[in-house]
Amino acid sequence: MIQRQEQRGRNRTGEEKMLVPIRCFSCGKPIAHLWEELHARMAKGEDRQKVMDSLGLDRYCCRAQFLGHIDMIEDIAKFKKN
Amino acid sequence: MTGQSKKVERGEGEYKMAEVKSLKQDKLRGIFLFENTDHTYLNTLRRIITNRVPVMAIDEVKFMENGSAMYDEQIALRLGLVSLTTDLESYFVRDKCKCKGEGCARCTLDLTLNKAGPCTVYASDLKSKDPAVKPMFPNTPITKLLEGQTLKFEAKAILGTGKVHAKFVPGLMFYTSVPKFKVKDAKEAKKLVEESNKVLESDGKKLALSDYSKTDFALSLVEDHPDAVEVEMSSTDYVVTIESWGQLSVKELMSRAIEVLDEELDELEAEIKDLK
Repeated sequence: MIQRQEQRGRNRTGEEKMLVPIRCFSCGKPIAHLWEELHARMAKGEDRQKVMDSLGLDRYCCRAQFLGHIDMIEDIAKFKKN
Repeated sequence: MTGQSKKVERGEGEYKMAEVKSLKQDKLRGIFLFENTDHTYLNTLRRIITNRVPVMAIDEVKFMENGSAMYDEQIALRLGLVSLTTDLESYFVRDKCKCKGEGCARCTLDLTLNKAGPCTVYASDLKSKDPAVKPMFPNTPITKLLEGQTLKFEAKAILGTGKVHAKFVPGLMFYTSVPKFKVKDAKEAKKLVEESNKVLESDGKKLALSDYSKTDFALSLVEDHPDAVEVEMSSTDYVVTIESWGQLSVKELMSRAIEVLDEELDELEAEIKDLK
């Protein structure tokens, strides 16, 4: 789905996130359900900007949630103590 | 609502009834033109929509098993933020319910989830006891489970208001006043219209917006051509955008907000009558 290597390269802030936020931090719009569709369509070669426009992410607060996010949950889950 | 004006006996000037026109309506968003109103009324409506209109959200989660990488609290927070379609006719706010806040079928809804990995747990996996109340966006990922990990919990959803927690916020409203353009320099104005990509329209003498939702864009263009037109922002006409986060429809959101305002004014009236 999403190339892990590319994700790591973009993680320059050192910030680790688990899974995409359910709602936009600023305006409160529910956005998590768009994450998988965005990446499925980007994998097909569609432009990120155009997909975001068509998904209804009009405000830059919601778009920023997706631009800055990296799914780390699968990596973190491997170290879960049971 | 009618556009007829009527004289008010006391007070100054003429009083006009507000007029509302729908400019654009999607499933979860409506753009309206409010005429003959003012920003204090619209701001009241905006604050009531974000803070006072009750909607359903998960409030309590009892975990039986959580093998996922996320802490219980983290999952509970994510569950709370999932927007649930709300049926305001069949549920009561807990404080106003007959059970006096204990929790009964009139004010509380039980949801359960039981999943074993490897999988992604989606909001659609939540099993609701009431078919009318279910996640609005079923593809919302809640957590991911690896091989051998399980997630099992019981959750309770209640009605609440945005005043209490952001998860109960039903939507967003914002507005701008309608700009009116006076042409100062016809040549410059023509340039402006050409650059505006059909957002601004001109019939030779007058300039007008063709799409009210692009007011910001038009104003920024006008700033680049200071000699072309004079802009006057209307103090009575507003373009209002109301977005719903899925729990209620835009229309229901507006009518509920007005109901809440009415209730609060009635309360105030009763208080004033009791004054001596």
